[in-house]
Amino acid sequence: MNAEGITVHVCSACGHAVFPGRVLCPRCGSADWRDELVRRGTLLATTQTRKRVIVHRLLETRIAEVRTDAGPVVIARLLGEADPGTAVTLANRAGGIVAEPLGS
Amino acid sequence: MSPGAALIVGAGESRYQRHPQRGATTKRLLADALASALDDAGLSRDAVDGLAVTSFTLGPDTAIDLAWELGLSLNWLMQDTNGGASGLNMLQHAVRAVEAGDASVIAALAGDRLLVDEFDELIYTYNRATRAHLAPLPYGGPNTLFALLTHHHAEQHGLGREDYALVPISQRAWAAGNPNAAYREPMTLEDYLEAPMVAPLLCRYDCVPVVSGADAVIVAAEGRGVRVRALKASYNPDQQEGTGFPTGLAACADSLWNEAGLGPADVDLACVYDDYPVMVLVQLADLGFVADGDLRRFLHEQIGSRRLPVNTSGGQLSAGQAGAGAGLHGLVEAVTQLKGRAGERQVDDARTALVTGYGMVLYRYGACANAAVLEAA
Repeated sequence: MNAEGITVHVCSACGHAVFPGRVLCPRCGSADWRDELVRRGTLLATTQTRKRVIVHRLLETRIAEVRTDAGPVVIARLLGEADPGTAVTLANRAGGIVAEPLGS
Repeated sequence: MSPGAALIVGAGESRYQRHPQRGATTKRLLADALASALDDAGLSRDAVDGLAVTSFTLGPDTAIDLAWELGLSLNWLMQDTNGGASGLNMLQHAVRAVEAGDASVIAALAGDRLLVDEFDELIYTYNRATRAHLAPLPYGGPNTLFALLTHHHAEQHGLGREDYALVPISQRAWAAGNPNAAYREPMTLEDYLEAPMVAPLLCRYDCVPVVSGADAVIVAAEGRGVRVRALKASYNPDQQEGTGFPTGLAACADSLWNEAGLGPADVDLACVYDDYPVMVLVQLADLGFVADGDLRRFLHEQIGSRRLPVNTSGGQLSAGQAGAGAGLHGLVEAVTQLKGRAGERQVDDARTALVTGYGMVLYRYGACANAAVLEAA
């Protein structure tokens, strides 16, 4: 997967990073933000959901909690399988964050 | 009206139904709950001069539309939007209003008629963060998020599925005494461990059955009822930058118990917001029920044994989650117990109770948490 990265928001005044975006920085109250691309993170936990799409088919999606290298923790769809602690690359797909184990 | 003390003088609930009857609407369910609570209080509809309501499915109608459709002419009105924390939030506002003399009889209502696809729509469009960042994954709803939280909790506390199981199993045992519970058949550890997984570590019995229904309490200046000894709340304690536990209740615990003038060991029962077994444990620990921090021991010695009565209606996990009604369900049960009206599931000599609310998953976990200590008056 091309690790195009995802956008997190960094406070221009104090450097605190957040995802999703906020209006006022929770740390210093500033309303000025800059976008920062973060390409990697660490898997914290994973689980699976399953949804019946047609009578005999279940769509399984692996969902992961990832601590991005910039700090904020995000929820992502996980491509492939991996254990907590694994390094992952991050990208946006159709509006959602996807994560893939490094080296995949 | 003049300022005075406030009491919870009535509590009631509509029928809870997995499949709502034809013609059931959210407003009809709210009306049913109101009638049940007024009957409990021995009051007529025309005595009501204040209304509070929480519902996910009232829109585009609001509290004033509901007042109109229920034939209520009022001097006090509010609508709350804090999901599972709404019940206690409405209670807090209602008590202060009656104490201040702004109203004399306030009905606080919460509930929803929810068909399965309405529920799915609700969880995928819950707030902008969900629509933008979770729905596209697709994330599978809060079950997925709390499965992740349970993973962290299990790891930190050395717990396994056979430990968390004691929450739904014990609550199912209590539900046997609740004719309005959706599920009342006993559950064994084997039933739990063999249940279909929903999102590991969570299985079917870790997830609330969605029902249509509504709950109501009446707060008034006169009558016999239940007194609120203390009520504390926490909103957005950690900017969604934590793990989801402890909740904001941990920071409220000291002031809650100091104001109540009693401690965790003194309450006769606890109605703890049970969207998931892990959250029941987290909230009880946050409020000081597990002094030595040994959650496994607490689970087996206090919860599994039912020595500490928790969620004596069966809780949402067995009685059902009636949408926004869930935020009032625990309060209704606590008041019912303290009034000695809990029938087969009555806790002997119930004089004090703890009730909690929790909710509004903004991105990863609930941002609202509140707790009240009640006493039979």
